Amino acid sequence: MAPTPRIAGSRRRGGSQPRWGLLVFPAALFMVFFFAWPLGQMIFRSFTDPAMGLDNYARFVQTPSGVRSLLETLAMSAVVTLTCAVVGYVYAYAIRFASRRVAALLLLAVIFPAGVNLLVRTFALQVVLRDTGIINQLLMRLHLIGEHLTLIRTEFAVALGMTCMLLPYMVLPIYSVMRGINPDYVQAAAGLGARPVIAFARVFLPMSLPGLYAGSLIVFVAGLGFYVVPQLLGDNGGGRFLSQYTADYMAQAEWGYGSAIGTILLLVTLTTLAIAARVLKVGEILRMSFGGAR
Amino acid sequence: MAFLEIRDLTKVYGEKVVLDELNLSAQDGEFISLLGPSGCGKTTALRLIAGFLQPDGGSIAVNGREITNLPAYRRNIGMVFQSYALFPHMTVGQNIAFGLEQRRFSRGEISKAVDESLDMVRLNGFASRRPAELSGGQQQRVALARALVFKPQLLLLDESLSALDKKLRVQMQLELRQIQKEVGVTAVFVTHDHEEALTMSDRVAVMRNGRIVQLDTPSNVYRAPVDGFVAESLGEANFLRGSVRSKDGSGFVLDLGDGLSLAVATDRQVDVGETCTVAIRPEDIELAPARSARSDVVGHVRSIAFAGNTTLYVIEALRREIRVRRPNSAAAENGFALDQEVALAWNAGAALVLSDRQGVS
Ligand SMILES: Nc1ncnc2c1ncn2[C@@H]1O[C@H](COP(=O)(O)OP(=O)(O)O)[C@@H](O)[C@H]1O
Ligand SMILES: [Mg+2]
Repeated sequence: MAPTPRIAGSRRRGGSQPRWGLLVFPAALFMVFFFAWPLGQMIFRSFTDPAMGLDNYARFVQTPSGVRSLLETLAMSAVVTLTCAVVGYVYAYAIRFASRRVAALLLLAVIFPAGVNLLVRTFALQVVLRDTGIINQLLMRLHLIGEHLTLIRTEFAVALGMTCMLLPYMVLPIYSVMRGINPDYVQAAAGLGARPVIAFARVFLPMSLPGLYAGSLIVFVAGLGFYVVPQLLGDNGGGRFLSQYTADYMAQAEWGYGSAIGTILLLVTLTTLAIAARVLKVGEILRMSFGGAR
Repeated sequence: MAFLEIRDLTKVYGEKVVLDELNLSAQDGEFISLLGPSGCGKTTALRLIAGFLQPDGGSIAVNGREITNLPAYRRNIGMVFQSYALFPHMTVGQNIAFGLEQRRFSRGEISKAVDESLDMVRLNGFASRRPAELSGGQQQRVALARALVFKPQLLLLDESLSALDKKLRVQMQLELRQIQKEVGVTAVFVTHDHEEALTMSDRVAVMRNGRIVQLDTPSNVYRAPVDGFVAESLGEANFLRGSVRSKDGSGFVLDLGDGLSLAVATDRQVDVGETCTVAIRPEDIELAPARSARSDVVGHVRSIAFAGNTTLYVIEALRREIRVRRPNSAAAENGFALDQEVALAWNAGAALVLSDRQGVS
């Protein structure tokens, strides 16, 4: 009789897997040095510079422009998330049901810009939106307007810019979830007597929501920290977003107060994530939207 | 006119003709199986009937009404998908209620009908479960309940039992057929399993390359296949090809060459000299120790495969390999050994004359 074969891997699992785990070490070290450490520094500073205590936070709460900047940051992120959700959903739907070639093109069109430097893209938008930009020129040529529209240095420009920059992060998870939805479901709904609108609303849409949630979460959180776009497209005489506000004070070497604002931004981000984790079962959603496509 | 009348149904993808002028008709309340190898167009045919695809030609009529151009949601046809396609975000009850809601039944009517159909598939008390919490067999029954609850004029089933394990599948075959009879709905059932098609159907439609080759009762497609393809689709078969040497009122003698011949009992008309193929089912051949038997076909056992209630022997005889399947039982000891010389015998009526006379192509 042949010798009983040893079950390959069963020994390895016990013996050498912990050592493989050491490979995480460089990455962990990297994160500690370049992410956790500065972040810790920032938080530490916000409570100690120039004096121990909550002075910096008290100052923020008592400064109307500070509170307003917090609210504006949240509002802008919410608006951008909503716009991205609507546009991104329609776009993802189009990719999902377009012919193979068109789908590839649409997908490329959304992925490609994400690879271009944010600053470059923002400058490009600036060129498009400025008083002598292509939009104004076109509208004037068509005699639809007599005078330049002020597009740049407005909240609209910021919202537009942020929507452009963040759209890929909405489209990709939605598309990914949509691709995983077997067309049988919509056909089953039709077979049961649902006209197309109902089949979409009651079957396809609910099944694609995890992608929409994942995309919204990413866009909202990313939107909170946006700096370049409001800096270049926004009305800098008026409201400043939290990220800009932080930078302003950092630039003036008010390290303590700047750090406090940064910490507040971090807190808002973490709160958002915490709420999302509770309400939306984030782990499941992220798994579905990034690991769910076959 | 039949209850379901499909005429010259054609579907083309690019260059590929998936359905080639398919004709099929079913009587009211009939259970018809579409049997064919993977890729022969069974699912396509079903999706055309359901209205999920548009045909490139031909027509479909149900109950005297042409539905070829009707959108799926207006056809009133129940379908059980191979994947079941139960809506994962709805409960079992909501899944079943879906079709009734589209037809604007009242809440009371819906909940009554849902309960009744859960009763029918023996899943009482499962209304608030999610599909993911059910076993494969239970999901299958929910899909069936969902497809039947709105009293469709036609029930379509696409390999609905294939995902189940063998034992459960056999149980569901009986259950499904019983429910279909109770409800009285006309059913078209797609399968690639010939045993399933034979046990369940009133009639079996054997498909090949987008066409129906033969549509007949289970015993007729099994016992009187029109060609080798049908014969093989419904079970194992040995094919013998030769020319007709002589004939009389009850059949003919087939000359297999090399001085070998075979008596065939049939009422089918053949001409002397014509080439002809007959099929013999492995279970129709009897084996006996050589020379002790009346047969003059003698061969040697080349392989033996025990399969529980039967044993499959491959016998080298008539200058070819002939498959013979013998029943096993405690009483009858088969006891043939490898390389043993055996005599083969069969009833003259066991040789099935293939009407296209081409045999396997
Ligand atoms: N959308 C499609 N585009 C191109 N070819 C298809 C499409 N759908 C099915 N086919 C082809 O049609 C043939 C029949 O498919 P199908 O009806 O699914 O077969 P079956 O259900 O009998 O296995 C297959 O060869 C398949 O490749
Ligand atoms: Mg199929």
